[in-house]
Amino acid sequence: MSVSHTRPARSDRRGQPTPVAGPDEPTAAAVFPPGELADPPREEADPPDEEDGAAGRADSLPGRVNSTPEQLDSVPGRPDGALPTPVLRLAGASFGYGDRRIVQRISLRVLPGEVVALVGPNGAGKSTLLRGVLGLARLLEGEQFWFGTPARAFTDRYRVGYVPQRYNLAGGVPVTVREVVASGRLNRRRTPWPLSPSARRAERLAVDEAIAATGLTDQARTPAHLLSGGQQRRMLVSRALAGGPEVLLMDEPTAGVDPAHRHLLVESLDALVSAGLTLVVVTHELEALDRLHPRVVRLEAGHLRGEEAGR
Amino acid sequence: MTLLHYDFMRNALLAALLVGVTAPVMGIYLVQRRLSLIGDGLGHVALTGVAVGVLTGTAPVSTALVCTVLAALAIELIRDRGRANADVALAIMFYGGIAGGVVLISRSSQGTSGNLSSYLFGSLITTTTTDLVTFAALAAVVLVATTALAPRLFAVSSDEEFARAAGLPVLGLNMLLSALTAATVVISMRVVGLLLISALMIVPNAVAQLVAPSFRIAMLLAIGIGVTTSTGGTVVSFYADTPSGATIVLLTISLFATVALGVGLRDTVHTRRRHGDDRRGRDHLHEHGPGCGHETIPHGDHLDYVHDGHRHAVHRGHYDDH
Repeated sequence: MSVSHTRPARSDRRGQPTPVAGPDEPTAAAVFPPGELADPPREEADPPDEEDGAAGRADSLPGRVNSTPEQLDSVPGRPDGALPTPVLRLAGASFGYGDRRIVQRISLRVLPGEVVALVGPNGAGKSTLLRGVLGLARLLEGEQFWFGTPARAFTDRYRVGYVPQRYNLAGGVPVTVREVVASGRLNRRRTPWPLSPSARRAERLAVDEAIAATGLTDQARTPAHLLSGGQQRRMLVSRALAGGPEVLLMDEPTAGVDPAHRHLLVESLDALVSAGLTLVVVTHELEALDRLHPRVVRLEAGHLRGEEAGR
Repeated sequence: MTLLHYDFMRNALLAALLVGVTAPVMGIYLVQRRLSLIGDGLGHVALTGVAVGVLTGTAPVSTALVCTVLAALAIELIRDRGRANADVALAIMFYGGIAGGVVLISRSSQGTSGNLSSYLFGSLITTTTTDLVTFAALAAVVLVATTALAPRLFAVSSDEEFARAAGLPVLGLNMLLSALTAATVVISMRVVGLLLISALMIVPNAVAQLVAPSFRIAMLLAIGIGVTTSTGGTVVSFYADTPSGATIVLLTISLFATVALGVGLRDTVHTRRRHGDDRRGRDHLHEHGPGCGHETIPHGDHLDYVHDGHRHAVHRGHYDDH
């Protein structure tokens, strides 16, 4: 059964950035003004999605799980019954590899500015769900929408940032933090290289800002393999930020990170959320994310088992 | 230089130059994808292509190119399907390539062991002007494609899963990389030889990895090393009367051994300097931490401890001076 709470609206915090880590580490909100993070600007309330079918009916909590798609589409108490277009919506979606279903019939809605923590025991299917919505595992049934667009037809991939659990050090060729982060900018490019000087400048600035957002400016030219595990994790956040996403999907961002670096990482994320970013985080370490007040969605054996909002 | 009076040497040196540039460029992506041996396998398959050319009287360079590119595309499709036994399938393809080549060449009227050896290990006297034109065209394709797509090739080589999640055409880029690798194998078939081309793709990058601080510098360094050793090895081969491919590869490996030794010595000296003399060594028995009595200065994401005029920061079980 679902447990409903009213969590603090993330949008309330916009414009009140939390300092990230100190005077030499600019806040994400400072370097990613809300307008840029939310580029292109979102509409506050969209008309009901055509593909949602039952969108607009007012009988359930947004983001609620274990509900039918019809129950998912409106907010009690909102006179217009309308919702902002969900960043991510799943309607009876099953994901897996080959024909094998790992997570089954998931219905879930993530709204702009929300922080959603996917929790559950090992093997529950958390990572598969995350990989599935990213297109790294197969959607075997049901429907998935990014920003109201069916996932199959969604082309603005830069709006979705992915932070994998670990940095794949690949073959051992030295790669600097800046080179790694710049690769996160590729889905913003329409040409192989930025052609005009202004485009090159904008690209440099975006990469610098993404690096600054996680406090790695001093390490920008450091080879990634010399960073600590926590710094590598922040580098991956920067890479995901470089494209200017509206939502970050993170797989176990705090696992194996020492407390000091975990603190820095969560501070960076808090500043980004304050600036309007949506977060979906797979985690075993929920307490590490406490200050982000996540809505907790629990998976067990491939099924959603309930949620609590606004820890 | 007397060797430039010979047409075959001019051709060989130009071919060596083209190999020296293209092989490390492709090699850095292979190393990054942990597919260092793919070049070796494609060299095996190219032998069948060469043999088909020899047997049918067609230019071996053309038949080798067709055969190798087809094999390269097949490799990526097999890898993409993710079958657990994909590496076995690739191994069978590679063994089949070299065995087929040897058998077919033995059936040809020109099929001598010397002929086979020149394809496998390189020979100075086999590069024709027609070959050179083909090699130059292939090298231009390789360099234009890798330059234009460098950021995407880097992304897909460094973290394929992230590239896929970012919406990059991963299979297409991998197939392109593979096909360009095949073209590089063909460029090398005269001077370096099909069994040794992989070395010129990988070893210059192995040297560059030892000293380069970034991917970009590693690539530039590897190209410099590739050009130097391929042309240098060709010259040595002329005077020493040795097979050019083997000479080039030995020269490259010698360079690797020298640089590895130098880097090892440098690191040893650096470590000793860092840890200082006995006095400082004794001081380092002290363990810094909260309340240890030393002044702390925040530095990025860690604390430096002011100690005997130095700022010490914990790093992997020792203290670095910051």
